[in-house]
Amino acid sequence: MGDAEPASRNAPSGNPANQHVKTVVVWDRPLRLWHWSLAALVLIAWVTPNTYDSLHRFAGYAVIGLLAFRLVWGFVGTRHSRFDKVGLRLRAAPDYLTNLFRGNTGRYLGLNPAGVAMLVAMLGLLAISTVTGAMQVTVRFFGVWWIEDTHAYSSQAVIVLAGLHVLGTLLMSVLQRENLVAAMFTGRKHPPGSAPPRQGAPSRERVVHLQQAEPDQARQRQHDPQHQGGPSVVPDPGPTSRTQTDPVSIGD
Amino acid sequence: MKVMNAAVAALAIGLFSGSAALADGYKNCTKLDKASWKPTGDAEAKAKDAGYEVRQTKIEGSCYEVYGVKDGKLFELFYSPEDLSLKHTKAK
Repeated sequence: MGDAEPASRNAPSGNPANQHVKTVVVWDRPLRLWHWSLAALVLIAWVTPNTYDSLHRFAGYAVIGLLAFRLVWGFVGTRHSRFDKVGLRLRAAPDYLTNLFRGNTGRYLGLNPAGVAMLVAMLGLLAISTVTGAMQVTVRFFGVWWIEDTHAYSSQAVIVLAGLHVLGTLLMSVLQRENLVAAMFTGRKHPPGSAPPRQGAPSRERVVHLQQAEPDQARQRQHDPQHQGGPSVVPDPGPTSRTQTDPVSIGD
Repeated sequence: MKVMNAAVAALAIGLFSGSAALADGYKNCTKLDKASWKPTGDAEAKAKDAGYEVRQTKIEGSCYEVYGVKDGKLFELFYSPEDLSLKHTKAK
C-alpha cells in the first residue's frame, strides 16, 4: 500500500544530478488496469449502440462492475487512488483552470484539480449512463422516453469528456514535460521539483538564495558600524540590500 | 488558447456526428414522401392487435419504430409508414 510514500518524500532531496531520471510510483497496478479496461469498454460501448446490442450491453454491465471497483479502491487503494483529497482539489479546480488558461500550471504528483473534476464528472456520468442503459431493457422502463433520453445524453457527455480528458492529458504532458500517457502504463512519474518545469525550479532556487542571504546579512550588519564610523560619502547599502534579501518579505 | 478552444469545439462536433452516424439500426422502410405516410396510431393499433403492449412509437429513418412488450419480453417493431407492413422485429 504505502510503497510509494517513502520514495516520493525522499526523491526531491536526492542527488540533484540524477533527479531528471528519478521516478516514483504514482498509479498502482489495479488502478492502471482499471483505467485502460474502462477506456476500452467505453470505446466499445460508443460504437455498438443499436447495432451490436449484446456487446453494448456487456460493455455497460462491465463498466458498472468497474465503477463498483473504483468506489472501493477509492478507500482502500494506494495514496493517489484514494478519494481523500477529492473534495479539497475539487474546490481548487475553478482557480486551477483559470490559472491554466493564463499559462500557469501547478504541478501535482497525482491528479491535479482539473483531473479530479474530470474524474468526478466522468464517474457520475458513467453511473447515470450505465444505470439508465440497464433500466432501458427492463420491462418496467422499456420505451420510457426520459430513461432513453437520459441514457443518450449522459453517454454522449461521457464521450465528450473522454475527448477532453485525452486533450487535457496531452496538453499537460507538453506543458510539464512529463509523458502522462506512459505514466498510466508504467505507473511512474517524476516527483514535483525534480523535473525541469517552471514550477518546481524557481521555488527551489529561492530557498537556496534565502539560505545564502542570511550569512550575507549577518556580515553586512557587522560591517555597518564601520560604514557609519567612516566618511559619510559612502551610501549605506544596509537598508536597501536588507529589504531585498529579507527572508520574510520574499519568502511568502 | 484560441487554438485549443477550436480543437475542443472540433472534437465535440466530431464526436457527436460520429456517434450519430454509428448509432443506426434498422431504418429503411419506405421511399414514400413523409406527407403521405399513414398516422403512427395505425401502426400502434397493428402492434396491439398482434398482442403487444405498446410503450412508445418513434420515427426511425423511414420507419415507425414501435416499442412493444409481449409475455414479459421486449421488442422493437419496425413498420412501414406506407402500408403498415411489419418490416423487421428486434428482440431487446
